[in-house]
Amino acid sequence: MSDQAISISHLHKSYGPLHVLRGVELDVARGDIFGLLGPNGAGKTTLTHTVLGLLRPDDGTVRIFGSEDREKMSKRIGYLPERPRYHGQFTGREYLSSLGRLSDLSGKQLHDRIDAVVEIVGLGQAAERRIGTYSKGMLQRIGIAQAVLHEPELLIIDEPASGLDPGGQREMAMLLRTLSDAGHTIFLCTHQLTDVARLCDRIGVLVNGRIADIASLPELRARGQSVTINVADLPHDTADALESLGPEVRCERVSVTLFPTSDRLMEAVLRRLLDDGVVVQSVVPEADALEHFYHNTVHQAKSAPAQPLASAETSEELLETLIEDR
Amino acid sequence: MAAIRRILTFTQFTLTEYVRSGRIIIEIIATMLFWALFLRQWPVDLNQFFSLTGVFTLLLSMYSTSALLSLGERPQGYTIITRPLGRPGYLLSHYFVALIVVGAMFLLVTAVTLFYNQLVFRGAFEFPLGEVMKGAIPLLLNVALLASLMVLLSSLVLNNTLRLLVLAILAIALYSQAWHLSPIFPYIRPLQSLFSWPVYPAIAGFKLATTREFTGPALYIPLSQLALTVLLMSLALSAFKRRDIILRNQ
Repeated sequence: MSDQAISISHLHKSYGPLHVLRGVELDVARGDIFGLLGPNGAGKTTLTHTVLGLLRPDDGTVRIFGSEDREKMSKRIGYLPERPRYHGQFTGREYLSSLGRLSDLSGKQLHDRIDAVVEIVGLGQAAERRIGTYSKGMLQRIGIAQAVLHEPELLIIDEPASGLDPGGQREMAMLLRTLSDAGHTIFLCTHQLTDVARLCDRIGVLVNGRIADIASLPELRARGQSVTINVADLPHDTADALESLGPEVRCERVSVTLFPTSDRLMEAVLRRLLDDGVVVQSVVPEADALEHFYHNTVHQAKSAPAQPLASAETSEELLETLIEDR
Repeated sequence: MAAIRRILTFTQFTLTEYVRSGRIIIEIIATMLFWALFLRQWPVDLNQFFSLTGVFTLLLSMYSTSALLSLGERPQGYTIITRPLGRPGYLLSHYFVALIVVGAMFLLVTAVTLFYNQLVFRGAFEFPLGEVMKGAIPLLLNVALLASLMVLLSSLVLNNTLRLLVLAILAIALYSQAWHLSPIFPYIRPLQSLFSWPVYPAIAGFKLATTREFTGPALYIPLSQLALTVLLMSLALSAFKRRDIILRNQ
């Protein structure tokens, strides 16, 4: 039995001339909550859909619990799509009943499971109403309910907080934590750093169709603290001189970021800025190691000579545009 | 067995949605309009009945199959396809719902015609049940055949290039006299001989529905209709299995 819930090797996927996934390598261990981060158009939805078997890889393999046969594994997978769209003509309970039967549940077992998931996601009496009348928050709840109904070992969740208010986002995070405690492996695809910080054991950043870096939150904290020095304007010469101090220094037009920082490095950078007459506006210690990790990884990966993937706002929009070309 | 149970479950689910959403009203209105225009004005015998309903059910089958497949292209499908029902079950269920809807409309128009024939035309022509059944079999097999072709030609199953290719083959197969005037006719003729054979079961089935003479080689016509339907659906399922599934956001 494989220890990996998901094992992806050398995965490539193109839409015509657009090479979206460019050799993704990724393992997600059983029981983990794995967060897949990435900027818009990075290929997150394409990767998720390929893992689900909706898209066929051009090259490489995707194994779920050690098997490449996705249809065989489908009973062990639950999926919450990014945009909560469900069959509005049915009541929540009717919908769950039909989807449960599609996952081979029946009789008392199905009835009990529906009661249980309605309770878990907090649908309450809304389960008796037609889905077409649900608010966005309710749609997310029915989405989670259908995803966990058949007690899948692996949950693939695309943007769980999409469209939810802050209260709803917190509830969703608590719900996912409860599911994780119950033994589900969760593959969370998002661009919300707060979701990831609240929930994930490990984090991967997808940029330009590749996993640019993977880390766990404790690892990130151990990597050190970062500091951002905001300036009025940073001349090129000063920026070059600062970056020559070491790889810990990253310059942008109006800021200098030090990661990991140290007293000696900070002193050297500030001295150079003051000597060159650069106006220092503020020095902000970045408490969030995850945020730094994300921005740094994306920055470095984008600096690498690779073509941008798409101008579409999201991968889903990219897919929509491709529908017309089918 | 589990696969059949899942397909039946999703067929029932899709049919329920189709009815509850009110989309079926279009079919009901079309059927009643057809009856009012072609079957209500004067008494029709069985031959006329089957030649008229034979054309109508084919048109209805084109519409209903397209309508149902467009439902299958909504993003709601993602949570269904990723379940054990899988791709084949998803496509087959939509196909079966199309057959059920068209079959129900055929029953409706038959029942209304029979009733009206008895009530207003005082049974001017006889509609023995056995004869109705004999005509209904090739007629409904033609519906199944055309629906399977529609499934194969849907954007869910084939990409634009392959759809154009199949349509080109159909255009060659269903040639008209106009082809003879074309300078490329001598080149197309051999292709036509090749491609036109799959059209025969449909045409022969239509004739069989109107004559209802199940004698000699005519017995093989329903079998050939069925075989061609199975072949087209197998092609559609095979293509769908290999396809990237990108559902529309509506």
